[in-house]
Amino acid sequence: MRFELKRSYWEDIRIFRYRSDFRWYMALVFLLLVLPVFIGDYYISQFNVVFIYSIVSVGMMLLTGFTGQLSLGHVGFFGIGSYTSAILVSKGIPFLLAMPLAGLLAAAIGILVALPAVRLTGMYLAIMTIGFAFIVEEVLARWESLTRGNMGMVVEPPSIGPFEFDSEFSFYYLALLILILSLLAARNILRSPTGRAMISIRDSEVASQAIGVNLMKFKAVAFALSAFFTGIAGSLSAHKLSFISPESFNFLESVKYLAMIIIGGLGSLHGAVLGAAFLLFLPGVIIAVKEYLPHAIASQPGLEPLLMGLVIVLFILFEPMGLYGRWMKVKHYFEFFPLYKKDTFKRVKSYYKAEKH
Amino acid sequence: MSEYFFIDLGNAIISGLMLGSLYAIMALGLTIIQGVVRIFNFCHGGMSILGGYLAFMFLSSAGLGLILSVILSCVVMFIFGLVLYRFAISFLVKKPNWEISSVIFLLGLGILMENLILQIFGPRVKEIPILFTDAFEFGYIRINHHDAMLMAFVVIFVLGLNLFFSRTWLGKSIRAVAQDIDGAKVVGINSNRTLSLAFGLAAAVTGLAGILLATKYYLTPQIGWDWMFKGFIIVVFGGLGTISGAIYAGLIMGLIESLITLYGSQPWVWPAWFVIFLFVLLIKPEGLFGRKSASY
Repeated sequence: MRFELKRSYWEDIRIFRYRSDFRWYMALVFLLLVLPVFIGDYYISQFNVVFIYSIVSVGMMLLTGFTGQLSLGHVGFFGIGSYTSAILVSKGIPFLLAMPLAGLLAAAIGILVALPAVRLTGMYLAIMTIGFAFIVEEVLARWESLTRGNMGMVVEPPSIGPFEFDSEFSFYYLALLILILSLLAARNILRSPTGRAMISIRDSEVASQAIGVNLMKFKAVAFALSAFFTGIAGSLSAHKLSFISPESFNFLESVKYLAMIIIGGLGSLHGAVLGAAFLLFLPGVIIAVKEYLPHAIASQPGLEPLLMGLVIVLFILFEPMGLYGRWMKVKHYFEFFPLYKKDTFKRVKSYYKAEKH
Repeated sequence: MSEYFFIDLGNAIISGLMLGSLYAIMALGLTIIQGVVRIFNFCHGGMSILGGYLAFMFLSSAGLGLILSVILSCVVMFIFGLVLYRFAISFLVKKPNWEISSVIFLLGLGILMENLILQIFGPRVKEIPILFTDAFEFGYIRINHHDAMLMAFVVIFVLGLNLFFSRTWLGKSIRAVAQDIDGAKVVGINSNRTLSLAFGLAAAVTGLAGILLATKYYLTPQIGWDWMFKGFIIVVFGGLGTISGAIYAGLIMGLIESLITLYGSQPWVWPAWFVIFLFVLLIKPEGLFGRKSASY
């Protein structure tokens, strides 16, 4: 059992809460660095997808998990990032410049989306962002001179200087590097005044306005940041898949992004990565398990979305705090072993009742 | 610009009103749930195709008559909605981040239902047979008997629903709960029971709308999402939680769709709907016919 003793403000907002955390993260990074040497191309590719979606998940987490704004339109930002990067690279602009530009364009459009969004809350916002995602899909499909419409675009592999990331193995390190950078960035944003303002908006809009938080500004900032991460991930994904077409940016992708952060656990960056890993390794597990299932079940189409729906429903009903919440509970149980209380993680009811309407 | 102009226009207006009445009944279930439980039913699509498939199953596998199978599937949908509210949603709406969790729960349920239906009934297109195949003809303007019957049915159904909400005890208590849940409790309404009955009613209406749409179009497991988004647009356009608003908005959107199809082209219908939708959300978020606070 550990006691937290904080002697100054700066200790409260450290990047790593304990010194041991830093060592564990270093160990994890080291493990991930040497991992691709030992596993096959198929698994490396799976990890690449997980890294890309983890970046999306971090972006979603900033917006939904930390600012409390529900978005079902992030696939729009993802698509903007993908297409921007693909088009810029095909026009001869280096990847190292095209990727941040893709993120910046997504962020700029994020601010545009946020302008009306600050007037809407909760489910209205969700529905408006669905509309945004549909509009992006339509524009991508119809602006044929630029995006080649429904025929789709072939994207070159990313390259930095003379080096091409054309194999899964080399792409792994690129994606890992960008994931680590975005996690660090998100962690730093969250301990800055901006991040704390965002968290206060999530907890109570009225209270945060009372202490001088500019709601409109910080909601727009949250949208922009979230769109930036998503755009970067879109750019990476376009170069990884090497082919993009508008119909891959459909509504169910947005549901997937939201499912990732819900399954991971709202309001934690660990949860963002855990949720992405869980949801994206799930198809692989299904494929591995399929051999043992009876043929009649295993040969059915659409088993994967069915399981995604089932997992979402079960998580919401039985583990609303997500995988990271479960991990915290397990950790807590062992830390306080004989003194464990069942209701430790329940929030005080009277507090949120006032916020409901 | 000739007599054809008016014939085309007349046909377009009739088919628009026809579509619009279907859209209106599609949006009814959504608007009841939104007005009473204050959540958007993100598995609306799943519910409507479930209704359609149930009717199809009773018709083809069980061999019951059309009217009996429609009634039976409405009853099954009512029980489904009741159970769904009692065992899932009533717990979710009491939690701290109830908005996010109810949205994602219903979305997940929608995906689950779509794929369960896909597993059970297969991906092939299903059709529900129609009663009448003839058409009235006034000069060059045609109205199918089936369309006329659907429109009449929708009108009668909406009038009946209005009577239910304004005259019966249950309807009044649902409206009371929608207006103020604490106030309703004070005057002795069992709010939990009323809410679950309202949810069941909305589910039955949604299933019925699915059956009606299936007789006009066809049934596939994926089509529910399209219907759901159309329903959302209509509900937001007409004002959340207002029944009359949903009906006017449904008619207007149906007219817009058929006029765009006549003078533009079919692919522009969706973008036009969404642009209208965004403008309504930006300028008048409470909807064209809605009041500031959502209630009946």
